Amino acid sequence: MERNILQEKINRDITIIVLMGALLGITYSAFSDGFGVLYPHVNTFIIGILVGALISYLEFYVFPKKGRRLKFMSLVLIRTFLYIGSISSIVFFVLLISRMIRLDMGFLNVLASEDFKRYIFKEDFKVAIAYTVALAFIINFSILMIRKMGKDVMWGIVTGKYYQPSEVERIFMFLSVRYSDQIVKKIGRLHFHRFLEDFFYDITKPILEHKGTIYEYVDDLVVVSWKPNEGIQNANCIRTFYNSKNKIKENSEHYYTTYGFVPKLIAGYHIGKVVRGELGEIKGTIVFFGDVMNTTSRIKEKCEDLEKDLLISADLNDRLTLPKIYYSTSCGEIGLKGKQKDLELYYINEESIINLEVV
Amino acid sequence: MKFTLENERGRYAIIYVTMAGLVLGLFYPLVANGFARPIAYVHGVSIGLIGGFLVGVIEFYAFKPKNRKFSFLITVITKSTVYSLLFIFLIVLLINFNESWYYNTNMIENFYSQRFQTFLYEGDFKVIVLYSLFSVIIIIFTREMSRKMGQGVFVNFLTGKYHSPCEEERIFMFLDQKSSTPLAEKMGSLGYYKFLKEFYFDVTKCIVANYGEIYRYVGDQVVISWSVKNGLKNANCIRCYYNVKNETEKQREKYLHKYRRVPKFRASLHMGKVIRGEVGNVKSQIVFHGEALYETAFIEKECQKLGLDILVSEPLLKRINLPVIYKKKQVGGIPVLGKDKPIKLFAVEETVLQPL
Repeated sequence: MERNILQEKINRDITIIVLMGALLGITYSAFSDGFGVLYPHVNTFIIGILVGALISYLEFYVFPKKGRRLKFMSLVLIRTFLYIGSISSIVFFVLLISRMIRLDMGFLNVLASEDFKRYIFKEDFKVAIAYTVALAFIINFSILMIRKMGKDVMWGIVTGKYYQPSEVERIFMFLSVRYSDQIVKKIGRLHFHRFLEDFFYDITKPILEHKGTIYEYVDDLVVVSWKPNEGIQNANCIRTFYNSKNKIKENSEHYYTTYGFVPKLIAGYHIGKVVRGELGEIKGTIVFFGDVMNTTSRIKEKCEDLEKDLLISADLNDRLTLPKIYYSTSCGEIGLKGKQKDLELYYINEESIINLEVV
Repeated sequence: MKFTLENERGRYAIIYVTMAGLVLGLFYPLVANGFARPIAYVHGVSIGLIGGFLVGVIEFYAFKPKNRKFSFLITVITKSTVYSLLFIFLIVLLINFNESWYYNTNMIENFYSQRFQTFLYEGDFKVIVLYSLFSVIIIIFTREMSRKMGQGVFVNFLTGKYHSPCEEERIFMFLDQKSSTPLAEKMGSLGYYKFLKEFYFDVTKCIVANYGEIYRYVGDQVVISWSVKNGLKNANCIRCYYNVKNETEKQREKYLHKYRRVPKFRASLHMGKVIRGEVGNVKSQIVFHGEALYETAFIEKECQKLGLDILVSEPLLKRINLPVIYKKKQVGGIPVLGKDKPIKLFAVEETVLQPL
């Protein structure tokens, strides 16, 4: 179930990339050959699809796993060589096979033919490769930019969607590491930063799998937002927390040996209306603005005082339908810093199936 | 002063675009013809240089940030029309000019020559126009992205400077709205947001002109940072505050008219060592981590408590060569965890120099 949502996202992206490849391939042949004959378009169409598939495979399956810890420059070099090499061979073989079919000649015959040699060494072969590599670079660059800025921000900037601020309802989760102050003092800032890189990497997947959007990172804090229906559906927002916790548990050996501790997570949840808009002429960001953010932050702070992992506001608790394995308990009306009115907070616990059977 | 600095940035932008144009202009004949036709390089260089320069000028003067009130789509449509026309004209003109020089004819004769007509209608003309537009898109897009991501972030992102975290000494300024909670209640979230957005828009140029880098927006707070060199030079970090103040004073009428209030804000400045690194793989972000940021937050609280406009910490102030128009006055201190002595805090005042 969880896998599917992420997989669906990736599948959608791959479809877009492959279609773009095909489209850009045909654009090339339309410009260089016009519409007189059919075969160049078939060739470029196939090349486009293959290159799109190649990019998708490398960018979604190979580099995210293997490349994360590599130096950036070596990543760039590896990418460049890999792309130029594989794209040249794709173009070469597609053209070769297309000629074999079209001229009804054998593999070696085509290779040896004057016509083909001339095409490869004198004519458009290098232009075709340059065009393909340039486009692969642009597609890659866009993937990188989208990853850097976040999909929503990028889309917002392109369409100007957030130019006019609007009021939207969102669920917020403020997630951070318990006792981070003490940990920083023990292991030092630099080491703590490395830990955060790993930590954020691990919890990204659970967040995305449950339809959360990462809003920002502040120190050891991650702010995640959901559209109300998406966060409430299957209690996605709550499950994000417990799945992140499990993910950390799975990797606990790594955390323990590398940093000397296994992080414990705490999270505060709230729902409410915020203003969403684009801010900043030179540092464009999509921002959420409103009191809800402050309140969520205060709720999270209460986790430390009340010795709980996860606290949610009554507003959110009322709207959630919890799956059987979760149950919520009221912690009573709690006074929050900077707030005049006390807020009722709930604690949500995960009950494993085994325990349920005993009861 | 501010304006010359802005113009300086504009000049950099124009130089960047022109240089990029030159490189892309040289790239085309290299790929298309190899070294067979030297005249192609003359075309490439002239179109790249002149086209690049014109794009830079148009980008900076005609589409400069003040005019960027339209939606992105309209901007794109306008720009692509303008640049298509520009490049069609430029390419015809320059290739014609170069060829008439190269073949020793005059331009009109060359234009109607068999060679040029073939080039226009059957040859590479459309490819060259398309290539030029393509190049313009790449140049503008990278510049736009770089602008949107914040100063220096884009370049560092490409070179992977922060791929591994490093320690760095930086100056921080928290710029906070005064009495923000009652204001937000009175104006409503949306109204207050619009008010703040306008304020941020107006003061961004003051920040940039004083070499400040916007780190993040946190509600009604902007966090600005300087490298030690840029922040100390000419007391830029302190002057930034006064520039912001003067700018809002200048726009006072506009704010009063639109929102019936003028932005009032306070600045807290501090300096210290932080870790700078990059986190996140879906939405990655350059972050600062360190005590210095917490200490600045404490200074901000102190500033709020004392009701002051600007509060500067001693570690920062003792390294600034304070211009004579500023006067400092110690107002207190904040205790620091793990250190014996508290950080001393100073209020800074701008004084008008009396003519002697």
